[in-house]
Parts: sequence; structure tokens; C-alpha cells
Amino acid sequence: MFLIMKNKLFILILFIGSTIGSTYGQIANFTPDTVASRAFYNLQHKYDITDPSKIYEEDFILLLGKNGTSLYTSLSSQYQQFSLSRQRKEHQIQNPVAVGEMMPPLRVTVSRYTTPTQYYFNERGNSIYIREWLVRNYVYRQDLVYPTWEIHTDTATIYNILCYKATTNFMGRDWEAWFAPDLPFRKGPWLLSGLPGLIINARDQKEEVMFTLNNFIVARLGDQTYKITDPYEPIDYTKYGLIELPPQYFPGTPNESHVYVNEKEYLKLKGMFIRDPQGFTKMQMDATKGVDKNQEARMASRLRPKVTNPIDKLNQ
Amino acid sequence: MSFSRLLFLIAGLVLYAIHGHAQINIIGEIMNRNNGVEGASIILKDGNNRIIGYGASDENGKFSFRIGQDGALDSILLEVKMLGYKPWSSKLPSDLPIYKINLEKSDVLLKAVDIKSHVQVKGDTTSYSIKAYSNAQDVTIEDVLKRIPGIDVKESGEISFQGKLISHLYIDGDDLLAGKYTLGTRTISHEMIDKLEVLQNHQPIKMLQNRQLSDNVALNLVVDSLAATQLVGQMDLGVGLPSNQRNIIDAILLSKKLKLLNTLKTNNIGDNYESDRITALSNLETGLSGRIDELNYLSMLDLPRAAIPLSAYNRNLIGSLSLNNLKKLRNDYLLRLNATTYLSRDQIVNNQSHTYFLPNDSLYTQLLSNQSRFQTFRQEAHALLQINENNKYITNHLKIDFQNISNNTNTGDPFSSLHPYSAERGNIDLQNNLQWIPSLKKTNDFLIFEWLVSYRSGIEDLTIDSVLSNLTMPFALNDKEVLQKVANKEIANNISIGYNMRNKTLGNQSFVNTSVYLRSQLLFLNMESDLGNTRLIDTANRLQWNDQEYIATFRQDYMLKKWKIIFSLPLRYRNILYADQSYSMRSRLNQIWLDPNLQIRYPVNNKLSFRFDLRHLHLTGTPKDIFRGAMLTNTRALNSNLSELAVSTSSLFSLKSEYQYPVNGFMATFTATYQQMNFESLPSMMLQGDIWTNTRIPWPNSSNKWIAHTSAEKNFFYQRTKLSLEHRWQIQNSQVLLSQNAIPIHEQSHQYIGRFDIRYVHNLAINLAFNIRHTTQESTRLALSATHINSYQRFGIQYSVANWSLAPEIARYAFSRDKKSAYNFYPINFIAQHNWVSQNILFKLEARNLTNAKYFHSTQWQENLLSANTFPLRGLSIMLSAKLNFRL
Repeated sequence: MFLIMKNKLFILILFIGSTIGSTYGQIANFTPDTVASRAFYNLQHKYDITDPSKIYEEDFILLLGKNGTSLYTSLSSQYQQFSLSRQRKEHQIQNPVAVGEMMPPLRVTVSRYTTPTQYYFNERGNSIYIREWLVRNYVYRQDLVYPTWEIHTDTATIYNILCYKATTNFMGRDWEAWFAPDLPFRKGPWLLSGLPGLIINARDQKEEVMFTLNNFIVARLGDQTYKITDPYEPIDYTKYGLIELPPQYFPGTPNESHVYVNEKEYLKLKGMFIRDPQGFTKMQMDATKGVDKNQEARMASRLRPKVTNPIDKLNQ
Repeated sequence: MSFSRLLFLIAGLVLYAIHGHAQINIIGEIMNRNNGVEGASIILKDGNNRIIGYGASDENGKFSFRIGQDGALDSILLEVKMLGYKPWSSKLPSDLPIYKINLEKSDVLLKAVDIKSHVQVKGDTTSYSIKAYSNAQDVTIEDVLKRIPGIDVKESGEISFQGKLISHLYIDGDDLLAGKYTLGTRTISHEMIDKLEVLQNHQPIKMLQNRQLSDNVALNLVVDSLAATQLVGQMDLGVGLPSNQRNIIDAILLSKKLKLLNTLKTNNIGDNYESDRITALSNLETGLSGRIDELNYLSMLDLPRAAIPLSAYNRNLIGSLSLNNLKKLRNDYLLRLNATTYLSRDQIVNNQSHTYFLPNDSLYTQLLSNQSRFQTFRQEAHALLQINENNKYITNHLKIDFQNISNNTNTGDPFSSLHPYSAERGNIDLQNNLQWIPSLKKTNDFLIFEWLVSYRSGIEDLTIDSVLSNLTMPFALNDKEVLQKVANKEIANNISIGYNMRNKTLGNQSFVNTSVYLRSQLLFLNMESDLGNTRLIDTANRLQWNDQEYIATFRQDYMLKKWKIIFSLPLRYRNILYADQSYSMRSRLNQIWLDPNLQIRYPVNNKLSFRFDLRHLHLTGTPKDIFRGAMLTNTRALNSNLSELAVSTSSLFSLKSEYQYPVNGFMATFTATYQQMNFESLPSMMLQGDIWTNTRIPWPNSSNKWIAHTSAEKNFFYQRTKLSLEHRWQIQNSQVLLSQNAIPIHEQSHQYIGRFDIRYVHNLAINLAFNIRHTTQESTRLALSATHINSYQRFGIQYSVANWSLAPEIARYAFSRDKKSAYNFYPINFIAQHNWVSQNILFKLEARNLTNAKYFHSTQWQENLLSANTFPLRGLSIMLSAKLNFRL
């Protein structure tokens, strides 16, 4: 039985990896956009429903494009990727290897769990592309549906910016957000968006999830000149001047390339991963011939706390 | 109901429904040079600036809304915002069915917005954004520090964090002011500082970081990057009536490599610059052993003080020049020079009345008036060369201090031997201290070399340790009892190598300190022992003083994962003999002092931490009162065996836990203390004719005290408001002496202290403080102080009830009557000021009215005496000042 399942999984992964990946790539309608501003958010999340004193924290960055696009990704993950890259470089420097010799095995470490999910908003295409990590990196598309917000009369001046209060019920939680019409981006942390101004603070009514704006930086002209010189180097989103979908996987493309699937296929894969994480991981590694597509996410996933109170309460 | 009425009602309902659901369509097009603009943000606001609708334009630049029309259509405002275009807004025109909006392109994408989180926590460092806590009315950085959660700034300028005095105040990581930080916090403008960092468990010596646990708290003022490049300064000159003057000139440069803070200040309006001498805790420590120099050898007679600011009644003339310069030679190499010249003449008038309650129920009142004049001249010069690297620490510190104080007091009491009293005292102190901590191969070990050479000349006050005196005499009023003033000269040459050997001489004083450090990664062992022997001869009173002291300390540190545990056990023995030159009269104080201390710290995460301190202080020895008796009767024959008659033991347990969550400004501490004292008996001397005789009086043979202290603090409303509450609950069981009989006393008291500080909201600031004390033995005591500042444009009024308290005072058991009452009442102090700017000069006209204050207080319960002090205040004064800020 197990063998049959393993085989089915293997075939499915190969199938998705080669065929579907290439077909869905054509559907991705996302024109690269120039970064106009960057917003930095801090997440505080009471993830354990039985123990509210446990608080998970993570820093995120929201890149805001000039033409209605945005990218929301973990800054903590980026820093950890840099740390891994540094560890690799130091290892190479400390262990000079002559031709024909084997490099001693490298043991790199990560210190914390980070969220591997990235959200690419595209207002013009009315879509969100979500990058998820299931041992390999997958990208799938969803229709862009904004939460239905109710704007209140309350105002507050936060960081010297006039903010309005808005509330909504979204993904099983009642949210309260403060947004700034003077910052004309219909965006915010995570999937909270659609208000006529950038969301400065957002929290749910029970105060179990809190997003707080830490910093807001207007992009500089020099950002356009930031180029990725080393394909093995992670992208520094605090400098990178473009919002574009990650490179698509075709046989022979570099490790960082992503597999494009539709949402249904992604959910199927996720279901398999949850049912049999070890078997799924092995199969994925076999499919990529042992090449790790996102080492940071893989290592960080081992440190994932047991979440009994997820932010998204509908898809637990 | 008739048909016509029904028809009327239906018509009314229909009309209401039509009106109530009246909706309008707003259709529009957003264009730029005839091209539709996609993704523009459109907001509709009503007359009250409320958002009633919003949306975005489609790919052709078109948009449509359907909104309910509750108010007048022409009051609705349509706003269009789009990145890269100028914002557009207009009232809704009522005649056009489709609104055509032409957006103009703009090169300015967005205004730069400076947003940073108020509070950031990283390990032991908590950063607070100064801009988030400041407002336009603040002048110096101290004004902002007062509002930051957990930080308390006393009137004197002393700063503590969570009740713990800070050990260092750094400016961009440099200790420019050599610990005398108040000069900085009261001079540097808050606009120059970007953020404040609170460094907990701070270890200033990099070599010892992660090697030696530290409990110190330090503050670091991070300088704004723009301000760091400029030399800024101010000239503030003021004159007024009656013949008032106040002048301040300062120049500040806080760049990375060179820092200077130089000030010249003079005034005769009562401000004294004593607070400039507030010294951080670390600078009192002697060497690395962490002991604190307890001899306050510069103190003289205390100024008579009222519980109102000294400036209200001090008629003075004062000048101070302070030069502080620091140069970074290389990254971790610095050279620092600090010099201060200070001259002050203070004059204080104090009218006293003493009311005695006589046994026959009658009162006797004595009126006294005294006038004190003090003159202080001080010259200090310090130079420091420091290398503080991760693998090397070298410091050479040269100090030259000179001070001269004279005092002239007319006590007004013809019977007092001090009438009139005058004294003069000079001190000179030269010191050179060299420390070297070299690097060792084993990274966790370290070795300390220290060389101290010093010359000190002056008059020293010999004191009893405050901890000892508090425990042996819990009712004693003074923390430190000055026993004798002895002129002496001291030359010390102290070389500590390896395990920190010391050898000091002071006249015939010798002092040996040995320390042994053993350490591994998890364990820190410190055995320290002191042997001291002092023999001083007081030729004026024909007395001599022998003081022997032995201290042994054992300390062990553990670090297990997140847990940090420190256990220390100091054992101290002190023997003081006070006698005349022939030893015929003598009194002896013996103390054994054991103080095991267990500290446990557990940081749950980077915001929440708990700390427990468990301390048991055990003291056995002679009550201090006997010892003091010996001093007071120094020319009389005293029973030489007296000191052996009484023995006291005291124990003290305390437990302290802290909870802090600085992100939302919440802090809480809880301390529980239990104290117990046992006395056998108290000897008492009676003068019969010319002979002193000794009688034994039954003394409370046991006394115990429970104290529970809770404090909490919270900031609200985007840091505009700070509320702190404190509760102290004390239960005391003891016996007191009344007419030779011991009477059991059970006393329970609650004390509530609260402070409420609202920042400027609509030009208004309110500070409220209350202090309520209720005891079973006394009545309720209430003290209130309130300040209300109203600053309307350039005109401000401040009036305060500085300290108002009503205290039906005491002491059923002290007096034979219980209706004595005392109260403090200060009339409203009124300050009005008007500011205006002309030619870049800020002019300020200020009027103050300070009326006479009466200050009543009752004295110790043992005496049937009520004292009242009156300090004539300065009255009405007016001052015009001109202030010029400059930047180079």
C-alpha cells in the first residue's frame, strides 16, 4: 500500500514538475513593476490557544510597486538566508580544497522558524500569486478579492500621519485596522488590503494577532541599479528595486526556480505533505535529484512551533 | 383612525423612505493628457471629514460609486490620489453627471515619512524612539526621559530604571561626562537625540562581557545622524527684578570621533548646580571588586531644608564652568578630559518654632531664627586614557580634586554652643589609577592588574554604616550618623596583581584586600576578603577611635540555558572602640553581619523577564544607641562595661520579582520583606548630681515587620499619558517604652503613591501626584501635588499646588495626648510666561510669584515636641531673557 502511494506521489510530482509547471507558466500575467516604497511590519501572534503567553514574532517587508503591485515576504527569512550564505562562504574560505580533494561536509545552522510564504499582489490582473514551500517552491494564483471593510469615523494620528479606523471579518477573525489615506497604496500586511490607504496597524479583536508598521521608506533611484550578481545569493528585498514573479522551473533551470501550479494541485500536494511529511519530502528530493531548492525554509521548518491558533482560521 | 389620517401617514412614510434611501450615482473619469489613469485611489468625505465611500479607477480611468445621500451633496469632498501624480480634491459639483478629473504628473512620488517603532527590544537592549515620546514644549532630553516607561527622573536629576539607579549614561556609546550625567541630560536638546537605549545587565568592560555577570543598567543616547555633524550651542542671557540674573552659554559637538560639552552658567535666582554633580553608580565603585566608598568625606552640616525646591528660598550667587571633551583616537581608544570650576554662595533663612508638651498639659513655645551662609569653591580636573577592546582593557585615570567649604550660621539660640557657628574645611584629593586586563589564551579566564596611587588630605566624617544603623536602631532618623570629624592625611599605594592584593595606609590604618577568582564557562567563583584596621586620634576632643573590619565574601554564578543564578555570601565583622586617650572611658561596637543573597533571573522572551532576589540579612551586635551615647558624653565618665550589656540580633528576608513588558509600556514589580529584631535590654544613663549612673530599661525584646511593596506603571494613548501606582503595605509588631513600661504595639499601614502625567493635548498638560498613608496608629495622611500647564500659542501659564498635605499627626503612644496635628500647606505657585521670536532670538518674559511657605513637622516620637519651620520665599520676581541658538 505504502509503495503504491509512494509511486503515485512520485509520478504526480514528476508530472507537476515538468508538464503542468510549463503550462501554468504561461498563465502568469504579472508585469514586473518598479518599487515605489517599502513598508516594514512586525507580527506578534499568540499561536498557542492554550497558552496566550506564548507569542510568536516575525518581521516582514511589503514592497509597494508603482503600478498597483506588491510583494509581502518575511524579512526574518531573508536575514536567515544571508546567514546561511555567509556560513557557506566562511566554510569555503576556511577549507581551501585542492583539485581532486573533497570539501569537508558543511554543517550550517538556522536559529528560528520563518514564514516561507510570499504574496504577490497584482491589482491590474486582479490576482494574487502565492509562493508556498512544500520542500520545493510552488507558485499558484488566486483571484484578488478584497475583504469588505467598514470605515469608521474614528481617526488617530500615528507617526504624525492621519489614520482612519476600519473593521472587517476576514478569514474567521474580526479585524481592526488603521489606515493612512495619505499613503495611497491599497495594501497592508499579509492579505489585509483593499483600503484606500496603507494599513499602519492591524489587529484582531481578541488581540491574538497584531501587525505593526515599524518603518516606511520611500524607494531611492539607486535601488534600480541593485543587481543580483550571484545566482546563489538570496535577494535583499530592502534594496531590490523590482517586483516580479520568481523564475519558473523548467528542466535545467537553477535551483531557485519555482514550480507553477494551480490552486487545486497545490492543495492536493499540501494534503499529501500533511498526511505523510517524511515520504513526501523524500519523494520531492528524489524528484529534484537531491538538490535542495530552499535550504533555509527546509531547515527553519523543523523549528516551526506547534500552531493551534493560526492567523487564518478558515483554513486550519 | 380616519381614512385621511391614514393616507397622510402612508404618504409621510413613503416620503421618508424616499428621502431615507435616496442614493446618488457618482460616475467619473480620471485622465492624464487624454489617457485614462488606472488604479487611482478615490475617497469621498462628508462635511465632517468622514470617509463615506472609496474605490479605484479601472483600466480606462473610469470609476462609479453609489452612495446614500444623508447630507447636502455640495458638502461632499472627492479626493483622488495616485502615486506619481499630484493629489486632486474638490467639492462635488451638483450639475455634472460625469466628473472629468485631470490628474497632473508629479516628480515627487511621496513625502518621506519617518516611521519607526516606539520601542524595540533586542536581547538586553530596549530602544525607545525619542521623537515618539517628545513634544514641542520639551527643551532638554531629560524632559523626554521622564515620560519613558520604567524610567524615573528625580528632582535632583538622578535617573533610575525600574527603581535601580543607572550605572552609566553614554552618548553614542561614550561616557563623555565621566558619570556626572545630569549636566548632559539637562543641557542636551532632545532634538539632537534619535533614540534612547536601555542596556540591562550592562558590563562596560568588553573583556569581561560574557565572563562576569552584571546587574547594572546603563542608558545610551543615540545621537541623530544630522545633529552629529554640527557644533550647536546656545546663549541664554536674562535679567530681572529684584536684581535677578541668569546666564547660560553652552557649546555641544557630538560627532563620532570628537565629543565636547562645555557650559558656563551663572545665576542669583536660587538655582543651584548641585545636580551637575550627580554621579553614576559605577564611578563610586572602587576598582573591580565593586565595593562602594561609604565615607562621604565632603559633607558638612546639612542645609536646613523645606520640602519645596531650594530655589524658592535660597538667596544665592553661583557660577559654574564645566569642560568635557572626548576624542576617539581609534575605534576602541579614547582620551577624555573633564574639568569643572564651581563657586557658590548660598544664604538661607529659616524661622523655627518648637512647641513642647509639658507633663502638666501646658505648652511651651520657643521661637528661633537662623541664617546660614555657605560658600563652596570646587576645582576638579580628570583625564582618562582608555583602551577597551574585546581582548584587551587598559585604562589610566588621573584625578585632581580640590574643594573648600565655609559655613557661617547664626542659630538664633543663645543657649546653643553653636551660637554663632562657623567652620571651614578644605579637601585635596590626587589619584592615579591604572588597570590592565590582558587577554589570555583560555578565553574564559582573565587576569587583573591594578595600581592605585593616591594622596588625600582633609577632614573625614567617621560614620556608622547605614545598613547597620537601620537594623540596630529601626527608629533612628538619619541614615548615616556622623560620629566624629577627624582631620587626616592619607597616602595610598595600592598594587593589585593577579588576585588583587591591596595594601593601604592611612595614618596607622592598614587595609588588605585579597580576591581570588576562579571561573569556567558556567561557574564563577569569587572569594574575597578584606582586613582593615584604623586607629585615628582626635586631638581636639582628646579621643581615639579604633576600627577593625574583616570581610569575607563567597560568590558563585551559574548560567544554565536561559537561567542566570548568582549566589553570594558576605560575612563581615566590625569592631569599633571609641575611647579617650587613656582608655579610661570607652565604648565598643561589635557587629557580625551575614548577608546571603540569591538572585535568579529568567528571561521568558525578549520582552518578558522575571527576576527574583532572595536576601537574608542577619546582624548580631551592640545597638548603636549605646555607642552614640558614648560620643555625646565624651567628657563624662562612662561605664566601660556598658557596651557588653546589650546585644541585638536582626534578620531580614526579602523577595523581589519583576515583570516588564516595555513594548506597551507596562512594568510591574513586587517585593516582600520580612524583618525581625531582638534586643535584650537597653541601658540608660542618668545624671545624678555630677555622676552618671546606669540603669537598665526593658526594651522591646522582639519586633517584627512585614512589608509588601507593589508598583505598576503603564503608558496610554500613544505615550501621551503615564500612570504609575505604588502600594506599600506594612505590618509591624513591636513594643515601645512609655513611662518605663513596655507597651505592645500592633501597627498596620497602607501607603498609596500615584502619579498621573498627561502630555500636551490641546495645549494642556496636567501632572497629578498623590500620596496617601493610612495607619492604625496614626490617622490618614494625604499629600497632593498638581501642576497644570496651559500653553496657548506663545503664552503659557503654570500654576501648581506644590505639595499639600494634611496629617493629623501622630502618636498616641508617644504623647500622652492624641490630638496633635500638623500639616504642610503650600499656597499656589504661579508662573506666567510669554515667548516671542525676533531676529532669530527667542525672548521670554517670565513672572513668578512664590509666597511664604510654612513647613510643619513633628519630631521623633520619643520627645514631646512639635517643630515648625518657616522659610521666607522669594516673592514676586520678573525676568526677561534672550536666547540665541547657533549651529556651525
